[in-house]
Amino acid sequence: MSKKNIVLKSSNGIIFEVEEAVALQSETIPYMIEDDCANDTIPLANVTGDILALVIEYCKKHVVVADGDGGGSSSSSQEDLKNWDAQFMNDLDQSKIFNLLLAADFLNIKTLFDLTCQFVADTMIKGKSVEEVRRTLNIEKDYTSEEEAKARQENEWAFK
Amino acid sequence: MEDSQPSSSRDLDHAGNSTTTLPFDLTVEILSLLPTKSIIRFQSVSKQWLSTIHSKRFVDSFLTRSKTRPHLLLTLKNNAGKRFIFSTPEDNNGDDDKAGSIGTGRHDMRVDVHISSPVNGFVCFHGGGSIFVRNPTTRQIVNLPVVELNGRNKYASLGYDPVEDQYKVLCVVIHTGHRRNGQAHVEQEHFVCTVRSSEKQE
Repeated sequence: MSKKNIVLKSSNGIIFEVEEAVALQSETIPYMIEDDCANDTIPLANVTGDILALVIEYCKKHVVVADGDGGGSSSSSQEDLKNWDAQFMNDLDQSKIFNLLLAADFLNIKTLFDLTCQFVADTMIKGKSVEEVRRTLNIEKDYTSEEEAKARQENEWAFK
Repeated sequence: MEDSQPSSSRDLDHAGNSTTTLPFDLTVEILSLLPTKSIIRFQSVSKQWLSTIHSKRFVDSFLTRSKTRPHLLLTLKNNAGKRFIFSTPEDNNGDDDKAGSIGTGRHDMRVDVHISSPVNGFVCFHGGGSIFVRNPTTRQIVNLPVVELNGRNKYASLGYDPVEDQYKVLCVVIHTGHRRNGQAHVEQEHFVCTVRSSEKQE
């Protein structure tokens, strides 16, 4: 099997060359290859270099495991991969996480999208107060204080 | 549905700066991963969150996920005939209750009630003249119109109508008596009540 490389270019002009199997974890990239077959470089107009680097790091890790499943000796087990995913997410700040989520959505990488959504849900939203969630997601309060108090009263148990 | 084609409308260019907002469709994805208690609480985040959480699409997807993690519904009756109903949370370590604390929903009945088998997580109770439908997950209760019994027996049962996508309670009131000539005669009255989330209809 000949290994083909794919060249990706971030919005700020940074070039990444990756193996085809790594890039094809994105369901969006195949469309772009078809559309752009004359050109070797695939421009990703709305993913910056630092985020694209993270996406590629994730895809590389996951492609190795998919490959090595059958005979690979050194490849990670599912358990290791889970730990790697957790560590990968833990090292990121909020802005990186949000941008990674947007990139996973845009590039349509299902496992990365699910991982990021779950991480945001578990660490930033779940168990937080209403005020904390508004702050985290930059949401403006559009309830009056009376309306808010009433809603709270109706579902008192959920606030305990 | 999401576009499978890449869209360039989303601007990720300010990555690296402080992106603190997410497009709303992604926020909804994240919301749908939360345990019930968080979802109920976050109705208070904004009016948009409230209407999203109440939207049919969100509720349907919640039900689909909820069916993959069954709850326990326990009922206990004390000596005085008072009934207590407990439902377990959907996920023992996933809810935002502290581990091991009471994540169960508890509902105390004033009187003994009969319980019809649950339908999509809803449970119908009836006792005396009153009938109500409870959602143990959200702890909401919908009271149905009181049925005048006048000494008759009553049965009530909850059902789901997939055609109209509605929940309905069938109530049968039965009177068994004797005519003057000694013949037994049975009179039945049927009521069907359509149950909606916050209102009721006859």
